[in-house]
Amino acid sequence: MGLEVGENKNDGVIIFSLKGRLDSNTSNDFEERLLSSIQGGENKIVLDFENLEYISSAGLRVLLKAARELKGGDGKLVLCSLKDYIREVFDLSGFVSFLPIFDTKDECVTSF
Amino acid sequence: MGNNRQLQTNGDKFSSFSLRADLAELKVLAENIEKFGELNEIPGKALFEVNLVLDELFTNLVSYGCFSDSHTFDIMLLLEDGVMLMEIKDDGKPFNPLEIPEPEIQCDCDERKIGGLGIHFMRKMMDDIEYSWNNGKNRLKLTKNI
Repeated sequence: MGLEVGENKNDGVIIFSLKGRLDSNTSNDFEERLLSSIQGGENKIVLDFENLEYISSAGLRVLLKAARELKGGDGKLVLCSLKDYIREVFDLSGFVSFLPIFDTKDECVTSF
Repeated sequence: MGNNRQLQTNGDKFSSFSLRADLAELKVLAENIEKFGELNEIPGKALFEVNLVLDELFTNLVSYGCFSDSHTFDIMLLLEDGVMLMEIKDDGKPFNPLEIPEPEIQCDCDERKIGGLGIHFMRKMMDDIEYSWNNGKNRLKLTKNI
């Protein structure tokens, strides 16, 4: 019931594939991983949510921090393949206003 | 007690459990909600919303509401005529979520604050919310039409 994070880099775009639950129990580890990749110079980041089953405000907090970090360095964080009920969380929180959301991974990659 | 009677005559439609004030207990919360949802054929989206709201309240208690590390969070779930009733009791600091102002959600990410978002989800995802403080406990009654 935890969170598994896969990583794949291609042509300067790094894709993190999340599987499981991003909540206050798993968000610290993911935050560390995401922010350290940004500090390491990554600035085109895709989060693939195809297998993400659950997200809470603790998970949103991590995305907010990453988006802020990237903004300073002209980078971008984009999301794809959200389940409908997860998309609702982004709508209700207003996070859709600063996080681009696409249907597919390919659309994410071509958005940079 | 009415609740106990429900438990005997209508087992699937009633569930109650307690969580220790430890974020690792989120797993227990999710498992219990999932089991309740399966037994009662509650649609996935509604079940997600119930899990999210209870998670946010529990995480609030663990993060901000404890006097010590020995608090408990008691949850009761009941399904009745297509309506899900939830009662949450905790012995943490008095906290009325209905007094929390609505967050500003339209601003850019530089000004965005994360506080209050869990309570915002509760207001949006639940159909009725009642708070009371008695016998040294926070008591929250939530209603959701399924």
